[in-house]
Amino acid sequence: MSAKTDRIDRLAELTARKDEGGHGLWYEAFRRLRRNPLAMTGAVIILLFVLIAILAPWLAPHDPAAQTWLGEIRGAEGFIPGPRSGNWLGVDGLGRDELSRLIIGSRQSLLVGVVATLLGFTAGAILGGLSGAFLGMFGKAGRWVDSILMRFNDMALAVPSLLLAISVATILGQGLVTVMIAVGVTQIPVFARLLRGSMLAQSHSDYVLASTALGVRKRRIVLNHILPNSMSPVLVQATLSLATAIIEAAGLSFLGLGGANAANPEWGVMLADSQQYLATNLRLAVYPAVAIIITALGFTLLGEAMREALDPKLRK
Amino acid sequence: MSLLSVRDLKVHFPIKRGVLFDRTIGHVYAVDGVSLDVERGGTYGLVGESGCGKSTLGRAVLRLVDVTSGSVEFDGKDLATLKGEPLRKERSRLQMVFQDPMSSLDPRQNVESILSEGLAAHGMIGDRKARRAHIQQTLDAVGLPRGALSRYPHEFSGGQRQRIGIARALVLKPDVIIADEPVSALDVSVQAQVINLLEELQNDLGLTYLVIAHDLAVVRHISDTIGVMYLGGIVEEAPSDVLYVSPRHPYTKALMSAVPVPDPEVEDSRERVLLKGDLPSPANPPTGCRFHTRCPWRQETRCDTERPELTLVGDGHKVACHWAAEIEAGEIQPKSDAVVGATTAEVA
Repeated sequence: MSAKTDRIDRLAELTARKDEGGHGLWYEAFRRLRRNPLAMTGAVIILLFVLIAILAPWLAPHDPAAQTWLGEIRGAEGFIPGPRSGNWLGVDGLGRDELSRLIIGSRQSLLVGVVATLLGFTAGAILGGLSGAFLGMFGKAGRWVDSILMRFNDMALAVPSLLLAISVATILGQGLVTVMIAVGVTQIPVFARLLRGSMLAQSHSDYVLASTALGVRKRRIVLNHILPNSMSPVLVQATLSLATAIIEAAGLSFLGLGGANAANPEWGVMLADSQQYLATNLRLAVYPAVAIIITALGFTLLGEAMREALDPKLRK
Repeated sequence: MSLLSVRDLKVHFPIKRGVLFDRTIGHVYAVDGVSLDVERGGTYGLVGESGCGKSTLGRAVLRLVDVTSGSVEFDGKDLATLKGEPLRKERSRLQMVFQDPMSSLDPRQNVESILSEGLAAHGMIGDRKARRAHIQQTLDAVGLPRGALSRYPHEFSGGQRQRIGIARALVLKPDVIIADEPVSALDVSVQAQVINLLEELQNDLGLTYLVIAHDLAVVRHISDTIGVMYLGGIVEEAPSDVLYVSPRHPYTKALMSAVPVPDPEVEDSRERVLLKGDLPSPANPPTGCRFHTRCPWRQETRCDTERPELTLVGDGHKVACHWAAEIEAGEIQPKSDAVVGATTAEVA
């Protein structure tokens, strides 16, 4: 009797577990993200933004540079045609279609945001990773290298990012590449500090001690345990950085350091151009500002949700 | 000769301050002159309150923290002076089981990867098939299902995770296992299972244990010899039955009297030794006997000036107290407010 019930129990256990493979951390994190409405809102915003940027030439109803409606603008009265059937968001101060300029402008923002963040992420991760690896592998000499690297990093971190970006932009001259480099450079110390700190925290964890006790080589511990477990805060920061990068790029363009020209509209430049019409045509400032805010919000929402999903302490 | 013998082991952590050049402004005397012997196949239990240095001692034996001075003799070799590759090679013979089974397992590794890592590091069992067989055998030994291989630590319960931790230590076929609070993070019902598992494995494989715990019942159950630690030093060492029946050191007396007795009449009438104050800072330990600041039997002479040695007082029973004999004979009485006897019974 009992042998039989044991067999049945065993069978039930076996069938229940048959197809159940192990699920890694990323898979679990992704599942939690999918259940989080804020994460999904952010993801949808980002998806729309990316789609618009990629398909911009086909989506834009008019040529963003053509001053087709210049004749209708009566400067003395401060009249600029507003939203209407031909121009859904009206035209700007030089008679160009506002909607087309916004749509085409999204490409610059995406490009600058992604390239600048990639630059900051890559350089910062290398710097921080080296620092953390030296700390973990080479004892006293490693601590020296780490100390020196991090003190320079702290100096860079102490400079206000917009100021640093302006300095870089001034040295390199105007242009899109300048904005990318300037925004990217300001991100480097943040990523470096974050990855290094994360690696330091991981290197004190019990599983690293356990691996040491097993006799695993230091290099292998750093590469196989410490580094992979330190990446999640850095990836979260990268998502959040995209938002900052887009805002900073707009800021630099606003200050006239960007490479935008009439053919390549940019949200920051549009904001700057709208200044002279603020009193009479506020909407010209509102459109690009809202575009910047929504995009930044999308990245921030997703980044925050990722932080929650990847943080084992917040997990149920 | 004992398999593992620790002599006058000291682990002092420097307290550092400074921007680019660190200055040492003091030391934390985590372990300060500990000697102990663990016999082959035996179990040495180490008890003490949190912060007394018992975990650090365990880690120092495995060289997971730097040893300041002293020796850790293991099977004729001094682990405390080994470095680099020779130390790494020696590690396969001494393994550790950690307190928190969650944080001691890499969340990104599945069980198979966790268990094969040590084998790979020591080049043991190169053949993939043979390695897998060995790992599965180890899983059987700790009572985990074979399907566990492809799963990740977070998919297991606390007790199962600790079994993975034990399997990781076992897979290298070590001689000594140091268990640092192996069950204190587990539910009480699971604690017994894990303790029994450790005992079974010891019987089957002839393992030698150094068990660190603050739970007196756990240590009593599993240990042959017990050492009581206070502020970086061992104050009393005795075979476990002797220690629980007749503790000699004032600190051990206080510890034992904190254990409730499962008999209401005895519980109401027995003497309780209450300690006042907190554990002093190990960065600035008291002079003389480390325990003199809280000791109810403290005397005017010697206690605050001279550090007592661990001396033999009976069969395998060692005590580090200047006045152990006098206390035992009843010649010295504790300060009256430190001992509570039978008060609750009288009131009732």
